Amino acid sequence: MSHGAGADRGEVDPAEVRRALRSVIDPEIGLDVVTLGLVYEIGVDEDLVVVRHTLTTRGCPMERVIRHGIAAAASRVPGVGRVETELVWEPEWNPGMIEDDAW
Amino acid sequence: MTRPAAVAARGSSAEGTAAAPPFLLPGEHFAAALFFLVAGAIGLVWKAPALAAGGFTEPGVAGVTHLFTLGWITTSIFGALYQFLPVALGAPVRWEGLAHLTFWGWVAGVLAFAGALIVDVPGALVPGAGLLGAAILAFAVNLGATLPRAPRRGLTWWCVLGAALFLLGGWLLGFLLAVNLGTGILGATRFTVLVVHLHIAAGGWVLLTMIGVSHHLLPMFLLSHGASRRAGVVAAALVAAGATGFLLSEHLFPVGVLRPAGLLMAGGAVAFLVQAGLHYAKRRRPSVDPGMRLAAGALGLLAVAVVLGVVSLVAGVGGPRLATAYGVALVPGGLGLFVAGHYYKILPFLTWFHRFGPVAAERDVPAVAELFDPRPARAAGVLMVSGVLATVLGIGLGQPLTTRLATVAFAAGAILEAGQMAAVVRRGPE
Repeated sequence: MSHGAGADRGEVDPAEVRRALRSVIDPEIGLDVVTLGLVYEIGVDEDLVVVRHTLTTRGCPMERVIRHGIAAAASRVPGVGRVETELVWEPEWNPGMIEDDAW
Repeated sequence: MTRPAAVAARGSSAEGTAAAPPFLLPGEHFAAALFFLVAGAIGLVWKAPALAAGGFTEPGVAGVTHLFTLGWITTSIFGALYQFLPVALGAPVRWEGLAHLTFWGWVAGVLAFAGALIVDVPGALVPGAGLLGAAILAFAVNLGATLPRAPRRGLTWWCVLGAALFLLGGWLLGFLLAVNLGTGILGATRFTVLVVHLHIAAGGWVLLTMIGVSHHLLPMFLLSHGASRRAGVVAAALVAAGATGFLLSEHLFPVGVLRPAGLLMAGGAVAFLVQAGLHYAKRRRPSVDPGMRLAAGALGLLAVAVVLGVVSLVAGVGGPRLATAYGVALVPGGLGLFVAGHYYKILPFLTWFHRFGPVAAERDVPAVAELFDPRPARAAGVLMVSGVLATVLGIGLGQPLTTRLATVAFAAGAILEAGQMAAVVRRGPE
């Protein structure tokens, strides 16, 4: 599975997926999932994109909302045919993962 | 391009995700609680002269007090737990139908009991207290069936369990006091039983719940994950020990453990204030939203209550105005406004989750905080916090006019918040 730029072979560029995920906003915090540091890894395998992400809190009821948002945003990237989301809890998220210029 | 469908989350999602919080069950509790908040606030205005005279044992004042303790605070806690348990403990309430029935019995009990005190009909107190007891028992049974199913059993779990036990204990003493009003069976011990009842209810039930719930919610709302939570553990232990001491004091006459129990509970409250302060100090968000700002104001009032309570205890609870000021700082103040602050978080969240969540991936939707105007929210907070402070001052100085004006300010803030919450639940996608 490719994790780097594969645009020259016609693959989806993970960086483009990451940019698309900046449209997915955590509705309670008001920041997007990339700025929050919730997106850990974006994997690409031909037209399949796998987004490994976490949440700010275990048991967060927004899990389904965020997961659907990630899937919808990633699916809008040209070349993406399928999207899978993988929710992980390691490493545990902490506010230090928020981008410095978030606010 | 055809939009692909996302598959279900892989990996460890099963252990981490929770059942979605219901809407109607917490919602009906919040609606009733807000009604009781406004009713209690109006009651404070009505009883301002009695408060200024230190009349905390007067039936009308007791009635208004119970509009806050039972109607506003406890109803809110019930509703919040039904929303919170699936998130924090991974276990939704065991029997939702029973919870709905409990709600209606509870509301009827609050109306009957507080109403009987307010209109001074002692004969109606016991039936009202009985209804409350039945509802509390049903709640305890439901909670007892829910907690064992929780996969996570940390501080929050233990606090909720302990708080429910103290709720039962607090009700038993309350029922005894209700019987006493008609029979006088408690005799000279009535005042001691009243003190014990107040502290088991306020400390063992409400404060311990606050400690347990804040252990999970404050880091989430303030983005202070990673801050030490040791002080919260100490707080829970001290408050539980203090409440147990108060309970035992009922059986260890002379009441040798009353002062130590009070000091333990005060120590627990201080530890909680330290813990909460740490979360505010370590927050990643630069600004504090109106709800958490009001909660911070409430914590300040809790600190005032602790000071007044310790002084009152050392002085042997001999001053009625001091005791009344303590009660106001504690009940509508520290405890009641901590709850009020959290309404600006939990009710918009509940509304967003059920109304906007299903369409969030397809269209632009407001953020949770955008469901209400922050300016009236900040104004409501200022009115309520300053209203309580000024009421405490008015009581301390024995000034009825100051007390009445202060309670009017509080009531204005309460009505403003209730109005905003009513507007929030009417929001939905256009």
